Amino acid sequence: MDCKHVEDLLMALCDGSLDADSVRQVEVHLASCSDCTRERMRVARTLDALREFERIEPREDFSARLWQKIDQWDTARRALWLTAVATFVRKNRRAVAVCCTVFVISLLSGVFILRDMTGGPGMEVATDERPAEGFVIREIPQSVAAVDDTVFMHYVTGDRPVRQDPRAEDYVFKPVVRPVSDAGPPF
Amino acid sequence: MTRDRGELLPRGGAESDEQLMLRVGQGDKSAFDEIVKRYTSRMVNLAYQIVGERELAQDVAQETFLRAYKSAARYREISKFSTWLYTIAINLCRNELRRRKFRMYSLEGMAEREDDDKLRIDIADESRKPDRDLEKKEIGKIVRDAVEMLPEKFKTPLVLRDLQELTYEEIGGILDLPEGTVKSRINRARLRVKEILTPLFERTDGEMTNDGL
Repeated sequence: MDCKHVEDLLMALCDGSLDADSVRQVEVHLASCSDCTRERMRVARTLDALREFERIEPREDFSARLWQKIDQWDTARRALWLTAVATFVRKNRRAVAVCCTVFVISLLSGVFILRDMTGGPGMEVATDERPAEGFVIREIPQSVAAVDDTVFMHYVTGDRPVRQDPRAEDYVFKPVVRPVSDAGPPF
Repeated sequence: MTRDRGELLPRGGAESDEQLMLRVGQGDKSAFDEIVKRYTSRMVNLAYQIVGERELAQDVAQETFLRAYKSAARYREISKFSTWLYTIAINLCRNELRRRKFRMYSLEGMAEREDDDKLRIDIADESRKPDRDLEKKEIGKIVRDAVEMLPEKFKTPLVLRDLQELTYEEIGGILDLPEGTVKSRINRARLRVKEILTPLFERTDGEMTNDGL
């Protein structure tokens, strides 16, 4: 290895990024070349000097100032969003009114459809299980309340609605929901 | 002054920067506070090492964090968070350097350039024999000026490697450059700094020889 080649590798040598084989060759050359050894010292001193580059501390109020800026930006962004919405509504009053009406009608329709599908008033609930012997009921469920996965049915006995008859308390009904017209004969 | 990158990195069991940033994106400000704590020192010093002005460096660092916060909702874990943050900071530093370059064309800028010329003469003046105790301080100042005088495309990789102690791979990711180009630019920057420091080294070498050391 000649001096020129070694000189090119000195930075990598001092930086620690030279491969082992090249390091060996450079070291062999350095052992017998005072000029390159002096140059190596200068390179090493340069890198040391760079690593000693003056460092500064963040301002004491660095974090406080930053959060102040962040909060200001958050506030401005929210205000901007509201302003944009208000401007849009003002410019498109008619379209917004139509959209709102369609939305409300859709919502209400959805609620009614859902209520019908889940057995709301006007539906009769028939059960697969027969209540205890001697328990006379008129098959008119008043409501269905879901508790976990179990459905308890509330009956009317006689003329008086009873929310939870003591004898019916232990019965767990899995109702089959169907319209009144399809309901089978009473028990 | 020695640097300890470890003090700024997450300790064992702590959330990674990327995890914290995803939380910031969901509106968690405390996660961003943690990010700020981890990176404040590094960002302030990176800006200082590139733009060379203390107050401006603080402002650049603040702007870096502010931009990171504003973009948090769009942040995706596609690259290392530190790479992303460094990229923001370096772009801001470049903007500041461009502004300064523009200012350099003003009369005030011309005066500053004259000062730079004086600096070069001072370094080359071998008749000056500074006290040994001041040598380190003087080298520090010369290095600072030498780094500041480097063109941006050489200065930034040098700062990231020798002052911020990042790997060549990380620097390539931040600057979007091949590793070979990064190494080449750093090497050229170091050689330039060495060239500026050489008269000082020769002078001190001579003094050491004269003192019989």
